[in-house]
Amino acid sequence: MLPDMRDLLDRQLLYVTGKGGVGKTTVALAAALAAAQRGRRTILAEVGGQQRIPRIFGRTGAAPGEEVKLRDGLWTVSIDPVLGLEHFVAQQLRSRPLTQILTRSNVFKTFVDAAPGARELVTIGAIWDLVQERRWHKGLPSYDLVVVDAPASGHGVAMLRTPKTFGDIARVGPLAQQAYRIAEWLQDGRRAGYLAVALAQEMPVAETIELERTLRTTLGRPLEAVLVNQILPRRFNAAEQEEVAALPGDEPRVHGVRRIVASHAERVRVQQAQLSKLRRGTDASVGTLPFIIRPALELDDIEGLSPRVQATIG
Amino acid sequence: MELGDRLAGKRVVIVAGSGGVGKTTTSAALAMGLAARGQRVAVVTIDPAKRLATSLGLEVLDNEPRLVDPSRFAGHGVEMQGELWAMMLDAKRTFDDLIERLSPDAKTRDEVLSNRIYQELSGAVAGSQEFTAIAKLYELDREGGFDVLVLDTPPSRNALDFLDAPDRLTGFLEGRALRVFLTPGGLAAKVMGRGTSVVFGVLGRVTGVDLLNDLSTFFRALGGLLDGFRERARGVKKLLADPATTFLIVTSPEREPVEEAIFFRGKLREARMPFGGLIVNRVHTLPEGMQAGGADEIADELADALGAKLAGKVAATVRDAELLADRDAAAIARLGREVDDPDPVVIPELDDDVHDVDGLALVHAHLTRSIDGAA
Repeated sequence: MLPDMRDLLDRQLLYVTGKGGVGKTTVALAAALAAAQRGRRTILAEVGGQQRIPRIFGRTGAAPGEEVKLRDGLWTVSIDPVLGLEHFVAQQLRSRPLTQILTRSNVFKTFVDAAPGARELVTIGAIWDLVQERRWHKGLPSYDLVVVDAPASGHGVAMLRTPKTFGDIARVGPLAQQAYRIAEWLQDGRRAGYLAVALAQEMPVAETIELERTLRTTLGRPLEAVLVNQILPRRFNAAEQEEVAALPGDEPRVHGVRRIVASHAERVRVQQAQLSKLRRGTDASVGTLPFIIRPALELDDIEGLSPRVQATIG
Repeated sequence: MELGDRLAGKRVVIVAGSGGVGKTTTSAALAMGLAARGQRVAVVTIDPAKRLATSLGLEVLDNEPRLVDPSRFAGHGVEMQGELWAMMLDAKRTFDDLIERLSPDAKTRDEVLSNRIYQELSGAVAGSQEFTAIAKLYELDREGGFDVLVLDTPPSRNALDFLDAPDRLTGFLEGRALRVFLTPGGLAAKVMGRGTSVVFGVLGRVTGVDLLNDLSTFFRALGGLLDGFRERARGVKKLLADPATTFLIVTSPEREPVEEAIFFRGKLREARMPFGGLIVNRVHTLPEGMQAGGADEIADELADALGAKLAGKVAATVRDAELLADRDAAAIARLGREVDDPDPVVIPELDDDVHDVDGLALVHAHLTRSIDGAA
């Protein structure tokens, strides 16, 4: 039995979700870096065929499903549902010829491609498998923590629901047993934790609050932390804003300066209002990350954010 | 070319792009603009932010388009000559409606709707949004009550889930994967030279025999609907490739959405589906007349008037604005090359979120370039 752990990084699953485009990958990686640094064997799992993490580390050519070492204590994998299903079935049947019949017949691929929810079920199953002492596929290593760069909120929560749904469909038998074990794992506060990433804007804030409610109703679990990304520095107080607004001159440059500062101040005001709204609307611990101006964040940037992420979830 | 001209004669406008780039807002603004010009337009959204929904009067989620009260536009600079209808998609409801429509008789309908597996799958399962969105679109198009349909596609990391959703789902409902094993003398028996009972036994060891029996019942019940589903999938495919259908790709200037936009454009090309244009949202630009690289000079110039400290902060803010404008200009240049829309619609980053009719009117003005892009 695991001790009662409060820290999200000390569990087996850290599930990072949030509205599209808010920086889930950044936060997931920053959290994984922090966990690895603390000595936990950590694997960062991407889903839906995504392979952004190896690219951030300058790696290419990893096969789907391949567990790639990034540095000491840190691995990454892009979950391959078909491979996961093969491993699961092979372990159930304990018979190579029978497994081969199924593999060759392409039934795994057909099933994962076609059955609604099958892809999600097998994906979350393969995520669960990563932290099991005895993996489905004999010989694969076991990890202490899996950080999931999960799909956007709606899909992300739907994926968490699939084990229970399929368990209820199958009711009895090995598939049902396996599905229920995963469902229990997802609902166990000592082993699984949920983190959302948001922006300080109307829609992401509303969606985060909705996500918290959905997690409670579907899994009985709280949303434990929210990282609000891309927060602008509060540079100007009211007097300073007025001072800049009162700058004399009609030339385009002065006009431009006035506009840029006014626009910055307005965006800060909207962000801070949304941040307060989020803080009022959630029981989760809320942390912020600064806005970094880049086409996409580099590894150095994300390492810089890692302590701030840790401070919110630790 | 102006967006309105590009959309002339289009009956179905599908707004695609990765999550968080402003698809819903763009869809709503576009639909509003088309309606303002006198057309009867329905916008089908998946999950609009509550305030936006409220501003359009969409408190009820009942899976049918509702007329947005024209008085909502009064006083917001929108002269509504046509009609704007809007609806929020209810995935389960759409699924149930479809079963009802395709069932040959009431008995089949009840058998499917009350089937345990159907209920679990249609209600709770991820991925059904893609299918139901497209099913609803097809339905609305067939009913023919609107001049234009604007579909805000579901947030999906992989926009393609949406394009092939009908095929995948029909494939599943046909039970191809399982039928192969379950039909006596079916493919499994032929290819593998083994009896169905052997294969059934193998599967049963994994899934439990109960599940297999339930699945058999499920697929038997669905059997009567299969022709309808196949026909539906064909119809949807035809609709997606129709000259009166067009895809708009929406993105923000950030790297990942840009990559996804380029990827999706390639897929449209491969699938020979019509592309109507690119919309780049949340673009940072410098105010007119500002030159990039002037931040340090500005700090010096303003030091007297504002003091060194405040002037320094102003300069830092101007420098950020320059960096962002550079970043976004580079993204737009890359998009123009890769997406082959030399003249994408650029919508500037707005200071506040868009969640009311004024905001929609502003976005629409940018969409149609009836106001200066630097505003």
